[in-house]
Amino acid sequence: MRFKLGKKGWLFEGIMFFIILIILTTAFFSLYKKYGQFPDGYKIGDRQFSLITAYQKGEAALFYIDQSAKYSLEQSVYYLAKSGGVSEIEVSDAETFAGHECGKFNDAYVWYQVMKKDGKINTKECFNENSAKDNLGYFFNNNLNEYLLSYPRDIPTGNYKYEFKDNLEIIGLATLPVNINIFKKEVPEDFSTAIRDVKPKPIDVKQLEKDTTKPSEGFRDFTGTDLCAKGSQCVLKEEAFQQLVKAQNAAVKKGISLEVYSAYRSSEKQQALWNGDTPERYAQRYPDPAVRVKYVCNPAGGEAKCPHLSGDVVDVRLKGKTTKTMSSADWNNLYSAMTSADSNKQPLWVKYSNEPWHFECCNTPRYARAIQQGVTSIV
Amino acid sequence: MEAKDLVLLLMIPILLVGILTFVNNNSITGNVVAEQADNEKLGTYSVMPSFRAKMDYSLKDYSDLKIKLKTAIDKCIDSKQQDIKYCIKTETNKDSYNWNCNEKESDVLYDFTGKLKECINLKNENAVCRFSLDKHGNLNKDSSKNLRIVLTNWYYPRIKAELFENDDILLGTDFIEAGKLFYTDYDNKDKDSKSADYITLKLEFKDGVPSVPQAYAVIGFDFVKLSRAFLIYKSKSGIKFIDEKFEPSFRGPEPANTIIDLPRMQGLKFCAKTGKSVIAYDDADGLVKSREIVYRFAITLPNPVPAPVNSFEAKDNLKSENSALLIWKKDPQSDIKSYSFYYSTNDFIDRKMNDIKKDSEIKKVSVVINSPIEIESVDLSSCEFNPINEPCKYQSYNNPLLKNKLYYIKSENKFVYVLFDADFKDGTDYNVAITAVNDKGEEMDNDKSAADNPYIFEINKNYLWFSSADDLAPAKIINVKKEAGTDGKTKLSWDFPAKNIDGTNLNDIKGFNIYYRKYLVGPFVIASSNVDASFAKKEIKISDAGCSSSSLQCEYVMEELESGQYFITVAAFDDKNNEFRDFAQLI
Repeated sequence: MRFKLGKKGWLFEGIMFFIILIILTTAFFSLYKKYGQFPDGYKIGDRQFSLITAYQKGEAALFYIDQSAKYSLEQSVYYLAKSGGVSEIEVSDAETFAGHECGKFNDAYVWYQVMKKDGKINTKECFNENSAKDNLGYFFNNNLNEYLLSYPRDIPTGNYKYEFKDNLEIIGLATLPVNINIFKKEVPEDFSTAIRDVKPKPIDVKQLEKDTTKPSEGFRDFTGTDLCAKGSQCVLKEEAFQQLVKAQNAAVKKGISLEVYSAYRSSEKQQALWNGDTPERYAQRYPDPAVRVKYVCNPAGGEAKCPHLSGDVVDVRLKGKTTKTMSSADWNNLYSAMTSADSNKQPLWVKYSNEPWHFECCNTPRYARAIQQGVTSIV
Repeated sequence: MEAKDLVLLLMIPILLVGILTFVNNNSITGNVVAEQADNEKLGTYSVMPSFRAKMDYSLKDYSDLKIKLKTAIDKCIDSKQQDIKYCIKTETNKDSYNWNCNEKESDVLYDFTGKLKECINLKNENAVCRFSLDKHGNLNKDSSKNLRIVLTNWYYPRIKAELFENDDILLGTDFIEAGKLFYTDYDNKDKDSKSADYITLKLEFKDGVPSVPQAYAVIGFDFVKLSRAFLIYKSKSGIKFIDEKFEPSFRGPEPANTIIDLPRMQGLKFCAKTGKSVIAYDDADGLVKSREIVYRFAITLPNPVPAPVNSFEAKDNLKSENSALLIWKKDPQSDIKSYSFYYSTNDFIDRKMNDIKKDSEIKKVSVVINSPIEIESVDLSSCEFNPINEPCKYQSYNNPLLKNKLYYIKSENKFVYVLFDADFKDGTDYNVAITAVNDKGEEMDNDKSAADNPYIFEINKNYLWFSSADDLAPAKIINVKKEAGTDGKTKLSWDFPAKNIDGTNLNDIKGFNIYYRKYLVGPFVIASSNVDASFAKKEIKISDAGCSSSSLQCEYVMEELESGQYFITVAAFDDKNNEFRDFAQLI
């Protein structure tokens, strides 16, 4: 097929060209007029570009998670075998050690206990091979969390419900999304160590107001801020949040910086823990509720039994440290900053004596008891 | 409209459908929420980060391994072998199992923490746990390695145990539910608990056996030396490390001080391979690479009965009756609480222990070893009566070995037990066997029907034949008197000896020997009271002397004696012709 342009055609095309030129020129000036001078250097398409960039960041995060899951699966299979198909929870929800029933022999978990009683030899089974799948999920989750914490942006950790299929497939169903901010103008990100420095710095209240959200009445979500550990979900009641800000300011004066790694926990989340819907699989490990309650808080007990449900409780450490790398001096500094006196000469927070990372404030029964007794650390 | 225009028009919906399909299949899974406030942030793009990951592997390995392990355990239980540990180890090394683990230096740490945990979990209160570390033949041949176990307070109530080489943590961390770290003086063990920041134990290997030459409790910048930390006082308030120098204090009468030797539990660790590999990281080398999957698991076993004694010997208890010296090497097994001796004139070497115990003709003696009489050295081949009428004193020791007492000879690391039984017949052959017994009263079964059972009697190892000798003479005869009878004949009289020369009761007197020699006066005559060949001897029966244990005055008319003075001595002799011949007296 061949197209030929006649005289009329040339005329039509010429006119159309000028009409389009006039329309575009008019549109440009109209828009230019509408947005003034494109202040702050915005250009046409900046927002669209930001949107597409956000999508690309989301895709990059998804790709990273997919690869991390693949590596984590192999790693956790290796670790699981090394620990004989058994997993222990070093610090359980109830802050206790959830160990293997029959313990270890020479660092290997015991599968059978052969016992002699009244001259007869009996065997006690200590390992259920069906639990290997649950334990693999626990290892996998820990391993994946390490990968996710290494990602430059904030990806929620401990965020999955796992399903296993034979030979061997794991499906991680996320409960929280990865959120990527879309800014009017895309700002180049710098992930160099200087930016990620943990040097204590005073809180920029205005910035904090912008960075935090209020998901429901009286609560403040400060996930993703300097006060919240990477990968953690940080929500507190407003009063508790303000107490935390004051404690951080006191900490900065001491040359340290605080980092919350656990705060408010919704009753749904607590119920999921209790029901065994998390990688810890408490319900599967301890089917008897009377035993399970030693390791995980029963949400039926409410805030009195599960203080994290109150929104007035934090598990906190020094920025740049983990609970394992915190020294005695670090714990002391943390304690000192958190229990600094407020304007009423009352401690901002009080420590639960048995757990150096656990602090309560405001309206918890423990805080009230401590204030009444004039102490800053209480059982 | 021409056909070409129609085609062009149709292209538009096709293109739209194509775009929609592309967008759907490549799933833009997120959603955007616009920010209401007029600030730098336009909104948030949210995407659910769910994922799916696959690999070629099956968790069925666990059930397969478990079945194999259970089969091995059941087989060993059914075979009724007393050494079940050895049996299971043998079974799991058969075929293609290859479940052996390579030794690692961190094993020392786990050995230590395992025993510490066992101490903590004991039901006993106010007891002292005593233990030593297991031998690890292939470990730490390089003695220059500076190894330490460091215990630190961790999350309350846990203690963290780590193995260090110089200042680097070697592979090995363990957690112990033990409250806080305390140390104490022994004297104040129930009142005092000094808190330590950490306790550090220096490790040394000799021939693969680890020991702790130095231990310190560290508080701030202060170091408190504990000469050895393997003495742990377990009280209601937790565990306290105690200086070893207080060990003698523990040996008070029970139940004041209970010493519990660990471990009470044995176990086996397995490292099974099924030939599968994964790409994984390992702290051991810090690399990510293809690695074989190794399944590590363990079983715990009841402590086996103490191993058979293999150095048993018996000797005659010199200058004594109805007794023997039973000698054997002290065994380092910590769970031995006592030894049992079985003896009979009948052979019982092939009989099962259960039968032996039921047989009334086989006598049993049990000897607890918690407080033997310690002696540096003793010469068991010679003893002397000094003075007489007391038990014979063994050379080097210069003391007698008392009946039914246990001695520990330090220089030879041997126990000696003086077995005495009034019914023990001297000169008769006895079958004697020894077994080691643990605190549960368990001992070897001597079941020779079980294949490869090491818990059996073997001649000259833990079973022997022995006969003791009666070499104990009756005591010295006293109050020997001579008087001339009305018929001109000389009558001797003396007291009936009720005792043996060592002061024990005399039960086997047979008669008397009367030694005599006329006392001559002259320039070439030596007046010697030594009874020698120049003395004449007169042997008489007890009945001739007219005395007994109920009639203590013995008399005998010596027709051989003339008037004048004589050197005379009377010696009693027993069934075995043992006699004690004293100096003669001039009468």
